[in-house]
Amino acid sequence: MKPEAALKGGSKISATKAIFIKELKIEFRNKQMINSMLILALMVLASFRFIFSFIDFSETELAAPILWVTFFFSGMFALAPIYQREVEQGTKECLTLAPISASTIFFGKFFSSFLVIMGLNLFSMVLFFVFFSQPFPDMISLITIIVLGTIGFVALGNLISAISANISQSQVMLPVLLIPILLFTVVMTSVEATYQIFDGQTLADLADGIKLILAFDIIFVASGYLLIDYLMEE
Amino acid sequence: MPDEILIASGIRRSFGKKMVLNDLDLQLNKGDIYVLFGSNGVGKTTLVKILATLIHSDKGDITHFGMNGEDDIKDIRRKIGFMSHEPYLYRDLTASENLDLFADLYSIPDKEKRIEEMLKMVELYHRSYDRVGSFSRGMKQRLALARTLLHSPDMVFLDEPYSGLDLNAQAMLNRVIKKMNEEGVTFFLITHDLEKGLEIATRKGILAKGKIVEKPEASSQDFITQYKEILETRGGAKGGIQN
Amino acid sequence: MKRSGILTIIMMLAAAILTFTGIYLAFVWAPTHETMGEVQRIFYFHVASAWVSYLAFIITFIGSLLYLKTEDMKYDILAFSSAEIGIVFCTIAIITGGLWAQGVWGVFWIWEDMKLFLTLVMWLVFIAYLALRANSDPGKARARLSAVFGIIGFMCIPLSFAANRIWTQYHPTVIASAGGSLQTSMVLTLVTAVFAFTFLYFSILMIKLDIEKMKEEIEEIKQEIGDNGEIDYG
Repeated sequence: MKPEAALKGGSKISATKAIFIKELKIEFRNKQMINSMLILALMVLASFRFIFSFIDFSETELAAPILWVTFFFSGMFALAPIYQREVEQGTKECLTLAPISASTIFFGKFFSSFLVIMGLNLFSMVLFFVFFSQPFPDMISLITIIVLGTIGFVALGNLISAISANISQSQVMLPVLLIPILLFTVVMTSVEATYQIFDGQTLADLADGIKLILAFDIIFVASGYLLIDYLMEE
Repeated sequence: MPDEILIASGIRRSFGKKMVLNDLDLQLNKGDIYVLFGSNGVGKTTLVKILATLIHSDKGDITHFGMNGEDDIKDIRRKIGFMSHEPYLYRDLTASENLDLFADLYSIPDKEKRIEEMLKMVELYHRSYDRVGSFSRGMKQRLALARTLLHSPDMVFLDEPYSGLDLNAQAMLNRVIKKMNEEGVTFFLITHDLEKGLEIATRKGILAKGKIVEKPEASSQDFITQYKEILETRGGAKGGIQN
Repeated sequence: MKRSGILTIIMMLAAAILTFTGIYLAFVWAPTHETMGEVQRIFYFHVASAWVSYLAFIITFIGSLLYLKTEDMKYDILAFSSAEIGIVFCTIAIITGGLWAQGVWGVFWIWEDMKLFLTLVMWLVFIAYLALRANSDPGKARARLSAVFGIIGFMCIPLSFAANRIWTQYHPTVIASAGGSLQTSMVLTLVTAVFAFTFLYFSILMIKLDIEKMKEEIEEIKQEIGDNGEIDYG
């Protein structure tokens, strides 16, 4: 082996890619997991449909919170196993021992869980329009906001998943740790922006909100990159 | 490369209130097959994880290949192989995918050929495309061995490697260890299987009370007797084995 | 108690004297507020406890940063102790704030009010921080996990400030803030209360650090005894 050649930047990208592909393979082979997440999204939306068939409400005004609560809960279940299965199968030790930095692992997992959760969110969005007969807002703006919000959600979610995987009661602790830091930052802003879009606005009218969500995304990805080191070592 | 591949001095590690390693010193030379014996719960696994850079010691200093510290950690890890008594594989990936992932992480050149070679060595080539979840424990353990040796490490740590292996596979493991040792690879393995361990050991020691008692000159028979003595005094707590 | 003993006693004395003075000033000496009435008197303690909780969480944040940098357990103890005290004061601030708001605005809680909102976010974040510590075993791993969470959690407070700004931009505050400026005597009372609570915080913190240090010493003594063969490692 030639360490000096292997140490260069190319190996970092190929290692990130290797982890990315591995994560996707595991997600999609484990069909129960994806299926349960889809069913959960369905159940959450069905519950909302049920609740709001009893009380009078403006569907347009509640669309944004309904969507984001659904994203939040189904996304949380997708985040929980990302690091926990490494701890359970012991593969965390093998990854730690490999000559790669923890941020490589973080980014591999970040990209794959972003794809999975984004797919899940789009599914929930379609279901939402099926359940609640809403006039379609500007779809490009809506999807852009969902993508931007999901980036921040997944970035910080991965980091918190790495924390909760190492403690007891991890299934309960993930939401406990995630809610206070995500709800009042990226989710709150995304709900607001989504609300405006259902209200008939487009991206151009929401420059402030979008800039803020982008800022969250950058800060959360950066803090994941900087802090993940401390979570992989023992 | 210096002759001393690993120098550990004053290693201490405690878990909560229990101190498992207490000012432990160890030196491994190139070409050693160091077999460390000890009963359950004396901190063998903790020691091997500390030596393999997997966990930190509370106190003490370790030098691998003349390198020391966080800056060289990747270079050190590149030369280390570690196999635990749990297989530590991805059950949803196939045998070759498991190896493929680590081949990428270690940037192994010409990886397909190397993976094929390793799978043949552990006699799993015919199951390359089966998911690890469907493997028996012994097969998983063999695949774990393949993953450990995949990047041709210079120093290999094995934690209870014989557990879960049938006699055939145990013999295979010893053959592989001997063959690689002839090529200059250093081994450090911990086990409580006296027979298998003594068969390959070039140096042997016993871990008890947080320290290593080394018995390099003892013949196998004497060693077994002494080991049993230590096992018996262990429960008594007082006195015992200061040297 | 050792070196820090005298300092702790001075702090405790100062806290006691100032607290009693503060109670006298707030309830007897300071005049009744012209528009808010008697209920305004709770405001002195509300501001003081809110200030102490901010201070305590800043100390937790700094302690977490220092821990990750130095791996010195004393910073972990500092961060944890301060967070515990901070939660107590934060709870007091939220309750007194609610009582005050009930008297002045006629409602316990106003989501649009930035100070209320941020205090609640902080409270939730550090409740999660304490839950994280309760669910992991003592040691370096816990110190590292909670330091990372302490940093992210604290970081999220200014971020949620920004998120709330965007939110209120679209949902203008319905209730006008209660007018009326503070008289000089009121300002003096407020300053006294703030100093009293600050001293109280530091004296509790010092006592707590002493206790934690003693716990560690006990562990060390136990281990030293172990060196002589009294404790079975088996």
